[in-house]
Amino acid sequence: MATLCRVMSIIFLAMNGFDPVSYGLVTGLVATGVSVQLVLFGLGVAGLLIWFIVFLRAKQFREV
Amino acid sequence: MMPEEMPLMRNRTFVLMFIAGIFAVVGFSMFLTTVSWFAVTEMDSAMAVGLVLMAATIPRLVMMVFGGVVADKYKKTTIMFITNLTQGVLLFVLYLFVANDNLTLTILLILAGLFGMLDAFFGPASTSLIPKIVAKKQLQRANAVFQGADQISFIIGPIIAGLMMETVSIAGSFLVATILVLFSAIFIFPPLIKEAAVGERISQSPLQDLKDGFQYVRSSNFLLIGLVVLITLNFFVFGALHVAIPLLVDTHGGSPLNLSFMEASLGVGMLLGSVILGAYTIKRRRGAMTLYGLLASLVLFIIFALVPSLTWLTIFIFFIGFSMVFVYIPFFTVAQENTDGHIMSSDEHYFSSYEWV
Repeated sequence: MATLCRVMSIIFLAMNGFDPVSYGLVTGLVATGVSVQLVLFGLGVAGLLIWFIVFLRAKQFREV
Repeated sequence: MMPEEMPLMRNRTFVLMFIAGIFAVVGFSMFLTTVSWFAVTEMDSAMAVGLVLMAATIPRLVMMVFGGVVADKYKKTTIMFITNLTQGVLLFVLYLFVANDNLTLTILLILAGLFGMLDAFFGPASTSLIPKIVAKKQLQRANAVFQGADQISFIIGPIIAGLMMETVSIAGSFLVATILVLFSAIFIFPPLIKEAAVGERISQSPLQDLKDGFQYVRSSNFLLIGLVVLITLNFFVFGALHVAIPLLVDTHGGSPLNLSFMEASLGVGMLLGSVILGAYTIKRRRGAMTLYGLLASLVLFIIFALVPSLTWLTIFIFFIGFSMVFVYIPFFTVAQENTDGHIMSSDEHYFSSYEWV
């Protein structure tokens, strides 16, 4: 069985599938007049919040 | 048919593929840099950059799901040759439009979409050809050599593109990319490479494969959390960086060279991280490493959003690239170790960890 192959395809798709969404969001916001720097700052802060939630819920994950 | 063991660099087929791969990736990364600079300066809109990048990536993703089926049915060298040749023609058309100053956004989006779609076939075909042309013992080394060359090509490409745009013109940069991609086609010209005929294989549909993969991921706490981590990194940091680099260079009134320095700096950071993780294998608490890598990437990214000059941006993007590797590689290693079917048959097409970085 090539389960690994299939799992890797899922991981690959999940990662790369969000790139175009990110492109659209960033350029869409910049097009409405928000500065690039502010958009990036906002994304960074939002990412940090998600990181915090994941970190608290991933005790087992950390030990692997 | 298992190829006999000889040094990789004396394996004629391997060397031809290696050279073809370098030309193809340098050409592809030149295309990306040049097209994003063209969109931001000539089309003069942020939205154009976003649309062009989306056009280059969405069809590519869709084709990636189905690319494996094609890779199974035809000879890999034939796929790679046709892919490169067609990409070369597309780039030449793009060059002609830019040189004659009549490229519209619609035409650019169509060309970028077709170009990206074709790219989806080259990668899987070349990774599944490697096990056929080197001995089993040499596989890891052969993959490492290929991935290393890939990462270096992604540094060289933007630099050549920047130099061409700075000293000659945007059209000139497209022309050089055209020539490189066509060179790649010559090296992979099927009669030059002896590839065994394709055997009959029973394989299930790509959609069924995805469904099976998804089931497996759902049953594993480690994979699920890892997936959230990777999506966070790619959505909030990596994807955003790609599109933000040309916009930031434009905002700061930079030149094409500034663009290529920033892209190269990101690539050098990632290369250094990979080299370090290649030398020192992490054996414990790799989940924690992945999480701290993401934290470092996010914090550096926030500082990156605040720094006021192109020089500082170029410095910080290096560290972002460096930290990102510490998210990807430990996660991939654990995923590969803990998934059954770890040892795959030689003509199974597999994805190797660095390939998606």
